[in-house]
Amino acid sequence: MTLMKPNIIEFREYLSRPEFWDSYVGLSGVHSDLGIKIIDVGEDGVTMSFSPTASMAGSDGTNSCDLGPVATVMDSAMGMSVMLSLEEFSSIATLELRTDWIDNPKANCEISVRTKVDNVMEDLVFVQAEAWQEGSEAPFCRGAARFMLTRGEGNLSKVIMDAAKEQEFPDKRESL
Amino acid sequence: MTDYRSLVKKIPYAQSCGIVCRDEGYGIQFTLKADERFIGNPTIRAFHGGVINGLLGCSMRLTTMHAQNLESPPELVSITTTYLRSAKIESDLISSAKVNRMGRRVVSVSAKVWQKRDGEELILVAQAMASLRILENKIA
Repeated sequence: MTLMKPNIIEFREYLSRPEFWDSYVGLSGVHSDLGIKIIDVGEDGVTMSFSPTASMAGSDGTNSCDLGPVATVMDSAMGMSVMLSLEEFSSIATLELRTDWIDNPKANCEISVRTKVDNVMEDLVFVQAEAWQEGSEAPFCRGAARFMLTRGEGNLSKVIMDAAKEQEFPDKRESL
Repeated sequence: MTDYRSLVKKIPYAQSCGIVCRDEGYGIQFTLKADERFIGNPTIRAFHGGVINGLLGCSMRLTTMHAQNLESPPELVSITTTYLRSAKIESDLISSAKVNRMGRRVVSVSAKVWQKRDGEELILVAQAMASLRILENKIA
């Protein structure tokens, strides 16, 4: 078994603290645009939510939320779960995402997504997700994805941790 | 003559993203203009995978709607997207879809997304397969 690197332990600690969630959300243009919120970061998965607006509707007839925003939140929540499941920092990339639409989401009703990491292999991580709405027990959409550990440029974990450190120690920005 | 602007209006999300479509002779081509608000990973300044998924979904639903003369876009049953490479925010995304099998209620569709790199070369960024459902009262 590989020992967890100290920076990964620190990364998990930062992401378990709600005061740093906004700095993570603020890093990505698409997160800010959709108004994504982190609800919970646990050992077994991540929960995120957003409030769909009329401009996110997938049909002018129903005003039900489109695939795009739901897939965006799923992909982000799954990606965060993958970063938290690793034993050392790595850049990651979504290889494949499948979503099954069990029902149409209701209009003007907050959408939440929770994830669960199924398996972490040497280069691949398998994750699943469910999207549901307030007042409903059953998910309206299920997702499954495969992520690859690319170990190249674009290591978001380190950027997230640096942003959190900058928030916690604003005077020590130079030394980060 | 088809009014492609009214086609995009059928999906408010497509309209709010600024997706435009035009007939390229071989089929409808959808373009999503590069914009900072679509960035997923700021370190590599790439389009978010969910945004690419959204473009593929709009491309498939609107192509089916147009091809089958439907009143509104068909509903999504399932979609599987394979990401082949990251799409940097430096240039627009282009998508087109193809109806593979038209059943009475369920349609099998595929779509691809490309991006122009190094000037003019088109690089395949992602591809998807989907099943769509046509509602009975939506057939024009």
